[in-house]
Amino acid sequence: MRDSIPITDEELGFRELEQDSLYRKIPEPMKEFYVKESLQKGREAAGQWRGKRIQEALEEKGIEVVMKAHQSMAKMVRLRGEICFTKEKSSITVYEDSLQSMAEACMALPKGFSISREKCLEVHLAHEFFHYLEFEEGKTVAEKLPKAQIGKFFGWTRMASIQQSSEIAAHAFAKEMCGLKVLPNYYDMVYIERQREKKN
Amino acid sequence: MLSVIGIIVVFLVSVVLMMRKKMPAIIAMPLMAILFALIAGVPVMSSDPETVTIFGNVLKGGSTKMAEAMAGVMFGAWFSKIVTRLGISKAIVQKAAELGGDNTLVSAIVFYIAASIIFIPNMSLGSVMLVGNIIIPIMITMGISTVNAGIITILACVSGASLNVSGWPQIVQTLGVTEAQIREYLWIGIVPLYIVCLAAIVFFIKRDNGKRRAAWAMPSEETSSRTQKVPALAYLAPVIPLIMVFALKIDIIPAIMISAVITLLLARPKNPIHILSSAMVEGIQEVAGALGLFIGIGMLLVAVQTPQVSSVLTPLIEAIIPSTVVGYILFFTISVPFVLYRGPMNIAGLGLGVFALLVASGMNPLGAFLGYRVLNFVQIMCDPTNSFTVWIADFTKNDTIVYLKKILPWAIAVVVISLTIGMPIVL
Repeated sequence: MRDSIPITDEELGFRELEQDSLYRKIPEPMKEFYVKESLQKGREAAGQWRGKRIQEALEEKGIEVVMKAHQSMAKMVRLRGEICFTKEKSSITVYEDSLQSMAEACMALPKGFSISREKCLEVHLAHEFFHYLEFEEGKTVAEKLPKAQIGKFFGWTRMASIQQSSEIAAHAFAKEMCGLKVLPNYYDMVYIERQREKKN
Repeated sequence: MLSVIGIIVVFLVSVVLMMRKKMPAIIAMPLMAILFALIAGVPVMSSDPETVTIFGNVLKGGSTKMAEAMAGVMFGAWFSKIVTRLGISKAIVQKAAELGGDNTLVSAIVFYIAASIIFIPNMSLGSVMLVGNIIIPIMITMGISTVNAGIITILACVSGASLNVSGWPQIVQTLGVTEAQIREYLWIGIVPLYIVCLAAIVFFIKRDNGKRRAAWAMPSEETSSRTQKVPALAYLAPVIPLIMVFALKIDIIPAIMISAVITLLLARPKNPIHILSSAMVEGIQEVAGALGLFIGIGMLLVAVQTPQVSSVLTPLIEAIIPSTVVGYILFFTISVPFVLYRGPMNIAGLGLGVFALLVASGMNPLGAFLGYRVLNFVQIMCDPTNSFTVWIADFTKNDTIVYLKKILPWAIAVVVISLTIGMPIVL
């Protein structure tokens, strides 16, 4: 199973980029650029919080953490976490069922890859905290990076930000902040793999 | 007098039981038909074939009364499954995501339009799940709030359903209007509906300004699987039945059958016969509940049209049927709350029977048609008991009441605008 799931940041970054609704429109040479730049931005942001635990960072910024134990009827897609940013008060919502599924999926992984439920929570919080930092700054990573040309229509060129760049950066941030061996979307893939195994 | 009281009691008890989810409409309808007939004195059976009886007319005749409507729904579901199985629905969503680009408002509107198109042939829980599973996470990760992503999907449901032609036989059979009249006056409800839906989307997205959101959505097997390659012309599939019915004036069922063939020709699948046959089975499975409801509605229709029940009910219903344009507008506007929670005016339940009663008792069929249309919109937009609303609410992790509260004012706007424009035209 682990052979089919990549473990390097670049490969996992690519997998995340593939989730972008505009992926098919991104010019081929730009794909690598988005992955590398996004990873770099995430790592740089994590560097500024080195030595601090995620809970301390959240406290420092006065971010409320809401835990929701919602079991979704829709098993096909789950939200892991959400951030709602306002200038007055921001909150991060983490879903218990997401934590549970991530922790369960990790159980049989080898040492170093396996993470505890507490670490899963930290990863969720760090990921959303990165988005908080983006919003606080006023520009997301996707907005900072050059737009991709996604179409041409009678001489008019359509440009668009690649939203998934922010997700790649958030994964890189969470990896550094939580001391993981891999980007957190690795665990998404392990989860899907486990679901497939259960089906078969 | 006792018969009148008895029928009213049966009606009210049925309403309460349905609203409290103690009895589904599929059971309540035939039960009401039998009880109405019994109370009014319709004989259970008779050796005289000319005599109207409960067994011969209400139950036997009633069960096939809505046959045309049932066929319409089955063919509609069949066509919808063909569109889904060919990967056309997914391809449309993918194209919408690309068209929307990175602008939240533009994306929200494009997703609303794309989902509406997909819902035209069949707006069922299955198709809502199919589309919702893809567009809701995309919208959420774009920063649209979960509530707004759900609202956009619900508004797409009503917009798509408003153009579904497979429900027309049901309208023809229940309200006594012709297909030509439906074609002529369909725009009255639809134009205000689309304008209000678009205004609502702009309002909700703009109101979220100042807040920024992001969500980590887990990719699923469903969303991570590649979209099937679909020829560009096949994107037109959901609107082909509409073109058949409106432009070529072909009857509904042949129009759907021809549309299915054209869709297969456009999409060029490897195994067209398998798709046609499996889509038929899956489609009928999906509308099995609706078919059961139609059997009950048919029985109720026959029951209220028997001379005995009709003579009891007509004077009563005549008293509440409006006679002026303003009266019609007020009547249907006041009816809005009775659509919610499977209330007596809910088209997916008792409402169809009530409409049949109203028309049988002298309500103007076109006035009833317009009222039927707008109340149907309200039901799709607002009723928290809709299976797809429950699914959307669960999927977006919000309460169904949140959707009711947010959408109801817009639904009332659709009702008032449509009736104010339409009633003077149709009456």
